[in-house]
Amino acid sequence: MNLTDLRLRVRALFTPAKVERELDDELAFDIECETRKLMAGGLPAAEARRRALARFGPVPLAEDRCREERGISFFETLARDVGYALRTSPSPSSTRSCSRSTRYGIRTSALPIARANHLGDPLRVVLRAHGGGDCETNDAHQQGFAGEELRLPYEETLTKPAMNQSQTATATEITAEARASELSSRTAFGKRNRITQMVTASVAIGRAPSMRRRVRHRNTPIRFRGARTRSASPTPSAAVQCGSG
Amino acid sequence: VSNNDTMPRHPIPDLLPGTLDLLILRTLQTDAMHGWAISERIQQISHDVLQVNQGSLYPALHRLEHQGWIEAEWRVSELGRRAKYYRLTVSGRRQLAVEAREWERMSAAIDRIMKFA
Repeated sequence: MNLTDLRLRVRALFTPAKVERELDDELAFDIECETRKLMAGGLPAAEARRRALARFGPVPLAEDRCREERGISFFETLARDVGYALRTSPSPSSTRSCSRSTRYGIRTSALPIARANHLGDPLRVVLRAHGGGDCETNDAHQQGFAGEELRLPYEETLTKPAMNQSQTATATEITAEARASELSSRTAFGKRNRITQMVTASVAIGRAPSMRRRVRHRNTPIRFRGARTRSASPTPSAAVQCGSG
Repeated sequence: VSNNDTMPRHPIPDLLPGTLDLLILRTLQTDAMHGWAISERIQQISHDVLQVNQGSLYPALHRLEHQGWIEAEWRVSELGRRAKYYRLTVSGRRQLAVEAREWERMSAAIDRIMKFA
């Protein structure tokens, strides 16, 4: 490790937001340059941008590889974990995180399984807040966490039936459901700490409850930036653990 | 017929390990450039034979920056937007000389094999 390396690592460690913004700007600039070049060659703006993105490849992957070069992944994770542990204020941010995690969870785990196995019925999803407490759960609903319509690339656009406040999903046509668990714990400082970072997404497929086929799927931990994962609930059909970033 | 039509295009990671670093260092020898300009320059000079994968270019730039061989500076680009320009450092020039020598040695060795083996 030379001095430059050390300086850059320290900078990334203590000004992570700035470093991340710079990374975003740098990659976005590349795509813009390529887009403009293609437009100068006569392509319409939308097509030029599409091709520029295709040429670039997966941006998140490039970002991750750039982050790896910083060599502070361990410290970044540690800093974020400490941040979680110290976070004591309830609701909005945690429920938003819960909502986001749930969306990720459904898209990445439950939906592919449902897609591969459903019987041709309209596919519906219920986001079901679970655990925590009534207040927290209601907060989750108020944040739009439970009533969201999820759009998919093709015919399986999911519609969300109205949820009642008891969070009981009874509609027989529900074929996929996701469950976001809000965990509560106490920090090392004795303060109540809400950790909203576990999502289990379960899929049940069929025309009626008795006909539903539970699709077993091994737990798939998915890490998002700045996330930590926890163990899934005991019996999810298809479970995904998502950290809230 | 130009090279464009006859030569296959190779993503640089398919080449020998370290080649991308060498090409970046060499490209930055004369001017400071941002990432996109570096990839364009390599593609242009190689007559489109070499196309740098952006997913490899930027990690390589960041790695070289951490090694102290290039340094970055934010400037306003020709597009009027801020862009990250890289330029070679003194130790980068030394490294380029080392890697260029190694490349010539390797290239000559392969050339001999192709001719005489």
